[in-house]
Amino acid sequence: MDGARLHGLAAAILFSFLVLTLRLLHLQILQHPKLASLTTQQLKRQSELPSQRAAILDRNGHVLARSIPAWSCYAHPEKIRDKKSVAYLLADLLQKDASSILQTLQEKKPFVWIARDVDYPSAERLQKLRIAGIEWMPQVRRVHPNGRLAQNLLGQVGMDGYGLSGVEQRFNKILQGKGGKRKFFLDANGKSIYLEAQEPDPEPPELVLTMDRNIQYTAEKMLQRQLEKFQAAGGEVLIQDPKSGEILAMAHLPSNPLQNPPTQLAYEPGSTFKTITLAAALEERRIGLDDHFFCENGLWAATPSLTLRDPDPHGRLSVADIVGKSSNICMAKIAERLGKEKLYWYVRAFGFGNKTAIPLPGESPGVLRVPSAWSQVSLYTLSFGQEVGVTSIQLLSAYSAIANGGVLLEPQLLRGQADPGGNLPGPLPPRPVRRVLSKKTALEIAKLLEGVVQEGTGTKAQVAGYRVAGKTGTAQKFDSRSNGYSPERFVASFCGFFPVSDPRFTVLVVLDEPQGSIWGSQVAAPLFSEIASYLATSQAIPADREWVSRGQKRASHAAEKVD
Amino acid sequence: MKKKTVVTLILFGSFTLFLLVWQHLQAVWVGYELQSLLEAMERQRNLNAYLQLELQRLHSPLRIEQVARGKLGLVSVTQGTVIELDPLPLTYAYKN
Repeated sequence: MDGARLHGLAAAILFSFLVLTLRLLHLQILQHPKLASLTTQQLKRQSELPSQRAAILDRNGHVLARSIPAWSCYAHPEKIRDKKSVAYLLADLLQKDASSILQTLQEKKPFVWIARDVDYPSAERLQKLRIAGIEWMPQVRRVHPNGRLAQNLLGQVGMDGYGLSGVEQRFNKILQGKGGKRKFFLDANGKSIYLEAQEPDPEPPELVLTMDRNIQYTAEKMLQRQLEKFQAAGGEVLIQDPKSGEILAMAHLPSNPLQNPPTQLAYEPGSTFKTITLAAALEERRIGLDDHFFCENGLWAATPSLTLRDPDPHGRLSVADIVGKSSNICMAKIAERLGKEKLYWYVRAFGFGNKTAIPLPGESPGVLRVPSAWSQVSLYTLSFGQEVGVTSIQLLSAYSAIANGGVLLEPQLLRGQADPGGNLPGPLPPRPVRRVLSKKTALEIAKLLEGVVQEGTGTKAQVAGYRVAGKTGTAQKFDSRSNGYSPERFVASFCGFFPVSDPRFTVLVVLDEPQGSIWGSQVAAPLFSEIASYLATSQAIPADREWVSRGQKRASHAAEKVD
Repeated sequence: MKKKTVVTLILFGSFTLFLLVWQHLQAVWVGYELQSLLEAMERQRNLNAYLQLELQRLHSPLRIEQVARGKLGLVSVTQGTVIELDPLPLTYAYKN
């Protein structure tokens, strides 16, 4: 090849390169912003990552509720050619009916849901198949490792990740994470290419409740057994530390995650309310422990329109016997001495008619009318727990006030949040609402309630080795059809605390409409005893040195008489 | 222009172009790798969440009670099963 030809070839190549370079300059520099934006629009994708919802733990760090990844499967029917095969494939892996999936795929819609909340293993198997027209959307599923334990308390989370009830609703803002975004490129084949580093969505810290999982489990188990035994329509067990106000268990059966009756529903408590009347009268010194009242042999016309009855006829009774035998007539007479205004004042001071401020949604303040709205008989009926609506949490808090020496405490349910290292928050200091009783009166009431368990209606609540104080209740339910009290439907209850020398637990047991026996002494007190025995054993509570069993007490009485 | 210079220029141009294309392809390939590693990490994280849930289910009191009672024949601790003895008075312990 001669020099001229070589030069020609070189010039041609150089010219070609020059053209290419100019074109590249045009594309890469002059047209760059426009083309880059077009490319980004075509290839760049951004997917929303579902927010991580924080776990809920009990006081010992046991998980009560947590979130795990799940997927929702949807389809673009027009993109699926062989709908029948796809329907059978999906049905096999999703454990669903093939015909219903096929019907969904045959709909003339651009978008249809195939399955919501698919668990990780099934979704992963299906995603690997890369079926055209089938897409997946990440989401979060709320799960409860302990099954239905404390469902009424924990509440429910909706499909959109918002708390609908219970703790999930009340602490939604704390529990809910911020979510995140994932940016990536898609190539021509739809395969994703890494684009940029992304900050992972910080998982919100776990929420720690005051509740004890094991105590809650045992309370629910024992309550279930008692419900079956007495074929009751429902029941509740609430356990509180009377010194701190911390709730250890709040069981309600049958369980409904959308409702928490212990804080939301008010009922007439019956005789468990007599403790409040008695406390008010003792604190105001309208009665003394040595006073005696005539119980009218079981039938007393308190007003022309109200005749009171006691289940058993009694004559003259001491204050201790009035509580022990749960006389309505004598309690009404005590209320008469106290007067409307004072009784109302103490009932309010114990927290009835007000919300307790427990951090749960939809709390009911109960039903308590002002004295000006009371009828002529209200003073009498209120004294033994009628014409007043209380929630279980109010009743429990009132008994805790007596147990701790007379201070009403705010019931506490939230201990706080675990730190990033997983360390749990410690116990909370008590939040006093007000002093309701002097320490002296509280101790007197505790002594009287101890008598109820030793010799009165609450003997079945005894716990060997421990001094127990409490009061039974058997309340007729109001029947709206007959506009009066039902002769067949009752609420049986027992509320008490132990050990009396140093109260550690206040326990309320309520059974709704028990069959066979209707009495709190027969239905609720034995369950209290069972639960208290479990608590004493599991929490290693030292036995009371002064504990005297019923049999021992009788024997000592007999010995005294002989002496 | 000398022949040698032209050839050098052509070679240099070609090499630069090749380098640019190779670098771009490498970046895309690493992008694929990174994305696939991210997805693998996500899968492991998901699997971990499921395994943790399984562990928590195995530790639930209902399951533990079933195993304790059904398989191991254990019974609940009742009153009197555990007796806590009073600690000896210090003087007694010292003397003996």
